[in-house]
Amino acid sequence: MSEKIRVVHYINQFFAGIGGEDKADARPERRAGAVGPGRALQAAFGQDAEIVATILCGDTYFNENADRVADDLIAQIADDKPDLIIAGPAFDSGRYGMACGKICVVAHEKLGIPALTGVAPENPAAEVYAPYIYVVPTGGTAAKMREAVAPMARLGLKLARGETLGTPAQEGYLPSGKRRNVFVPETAAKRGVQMLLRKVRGEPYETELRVPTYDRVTPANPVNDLKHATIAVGTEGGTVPTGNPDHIESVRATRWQTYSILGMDTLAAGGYESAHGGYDARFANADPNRMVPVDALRVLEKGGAFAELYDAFFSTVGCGMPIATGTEIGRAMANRMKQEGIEGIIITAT
Amino acid sequence: MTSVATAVGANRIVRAGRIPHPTGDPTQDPEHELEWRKRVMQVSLDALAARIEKQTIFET
Repeated sequence: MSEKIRVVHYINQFFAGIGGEDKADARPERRAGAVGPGRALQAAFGQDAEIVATILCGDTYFNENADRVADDLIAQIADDKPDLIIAGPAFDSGRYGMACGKICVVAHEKLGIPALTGVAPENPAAEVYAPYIYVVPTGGTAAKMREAVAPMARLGLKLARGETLGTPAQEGYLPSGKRRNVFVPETAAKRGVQMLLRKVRGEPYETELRVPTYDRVTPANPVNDLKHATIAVGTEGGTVPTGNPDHIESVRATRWQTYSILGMDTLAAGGYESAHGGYDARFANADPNRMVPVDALRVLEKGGAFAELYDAFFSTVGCGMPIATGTEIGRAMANRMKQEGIEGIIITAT
Repeated sequence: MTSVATAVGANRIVRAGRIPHPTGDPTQDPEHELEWRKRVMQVSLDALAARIEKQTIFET
């Protein structure tokens, strides 16, 4: 008989029995053994695994201090030597879901153990964290606790044992966007025709490649008066000072930067390079204005086409970037623009 | 390459150069390339100032 799998469980102040919203600033804490919904989880594990410790925190306190709290809690459980961390289920609770996702990411990074949480598919944490950790879809409220806990326990055991997983649909977690090569006996043409025939006959079929869905956004109001507007320029083409001092990643970037163009009539060749891993950078390296058109905008600025070119350009690498990251970066850039009084931005795209 | 911009939901899209040089055209001499780039930027400024109701592609 092999040893029991050691599990650490994360829950919020409500499920720990501390209290509701009035206790949402509860400080992080570690308790031995299973607490609250951990008991249902323990029952689902049976003899295969044991919840050795429970970590908990108030939802508000966690989210206002996420990095510090997550680091602190994960440091506290290192001695518990967990094989697996499970957080939640958080159902449709936004802050609880975000805390569960964060604690899983940090546990996975720092302890190298598999991590999974359960949230309702419409919980924002689902979209944000599904690319990084295992997220089991649950119902919207705690009334669905039992239905949520069983698949979480099942997937958790598989992960802790290092078993090869099937597709997200087979295993009961939300697609992470990862792709894996598999061998199939029939060509894509044959599979495609078969899928089409099933569709035409009204039979069930499953696509092999889910096309991502994107938000539709109402067009922003136009810039009122270009003659008095500060306009910025930016790119997702990864234009950075030579040497890429801020280490913007060449794929799946998590960073963005602004680089000063104060007093510059052009982006000088040799001063900049492309950090982007997804296109042939020779042309843009030979003349960085082909990616960030500072020279043309300066001419138009001097000619009075608009009032002022903002004195730095915005840059990130839009290569293999998950939508969640792109949304986050876009929001941060928009905030900066608002703070700086920038009324419009021209962003080049590769 | 307006198809990706369209798919991801950008609302003001300017049709410009090619993927590795959206605001460049290495086939032209530098003077004409700059003229072309100024035109692309003027269209982009016009796009920022245009009232639109739905996704719009601005031609250069």
